[in-house]
Amino acid sequence: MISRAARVTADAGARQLLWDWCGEALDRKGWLYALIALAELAGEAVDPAWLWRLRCRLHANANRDPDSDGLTPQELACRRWHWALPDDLAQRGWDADLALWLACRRVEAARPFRRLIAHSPRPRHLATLARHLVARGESAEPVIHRALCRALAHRPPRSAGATPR
Amino acid sequence: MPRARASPAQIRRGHPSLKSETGLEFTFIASYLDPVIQAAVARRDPALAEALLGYVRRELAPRQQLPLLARLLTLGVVSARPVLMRLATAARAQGDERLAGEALARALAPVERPVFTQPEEEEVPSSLPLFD
Repeated sequence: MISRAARVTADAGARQLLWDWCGEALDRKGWLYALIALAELAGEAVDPAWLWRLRCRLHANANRDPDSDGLTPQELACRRWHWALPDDLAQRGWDADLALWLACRRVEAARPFRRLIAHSPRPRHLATLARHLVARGESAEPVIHRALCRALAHRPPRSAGATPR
Repeated sequence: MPRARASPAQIRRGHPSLKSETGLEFTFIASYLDPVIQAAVARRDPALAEALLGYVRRELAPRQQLPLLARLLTLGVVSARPVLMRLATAARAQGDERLAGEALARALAPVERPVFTQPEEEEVPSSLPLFD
């Protein structure tokens, strides 16, 4: 679909369509489908810097709240890893997002995200990192293994959020 | 402040304590941590299993800890054994005899065909107090 369109045409129209979609997707399903489409693009010869900008735009669109005011989408992306996705397909979206970051991780603006995933002990994040290790087996990215071990050991400041107990 | 436990009906209705995704995550903690155990087993990675053990001890409530500690012990993470013993002792001190009994039983269960082979770090004392 859009990935094919973007690959085949590499034209301004397809790029603008993706840009608009990431900024205008309205609900959980929309965010999920956009994430999956972006992850598909990550497997193509698409400029990772542009792909990361799309991902950040989508993330900012899906995380509009007063706390994010004043932050650029790229800044917000490296401070918060959160998606509200349809319950039954949520993990697919999270997996797509991690694949997306892996494809873009050498982009300057995407580098701080590594620290974010290594300091987030939320169960959903741990599961997403672990699922990558299971799915990829021997070819799993070492950076994900390190991030998972660090996230498991990370102690978030108690004052910053609710205790999980 | 401990998070109130919500009933399945409350979860379906959207209990106030479960408004955030984090609340839901910790309600279904075992299912979220299962991939971590799978990863540790698939990679035969005791360091990852030990890291998970530390997370379970640190972050979860005692009743949430029990099945995960038991599973880690079954896999051969023997350092889960003293944790289960302490869990049993603490539960008994708080009057939760059922949890104490379960934790003690799990702690004393033999480890057969472990995935990870590690030396026993701490002997289970032979003079354990028995429950009435």
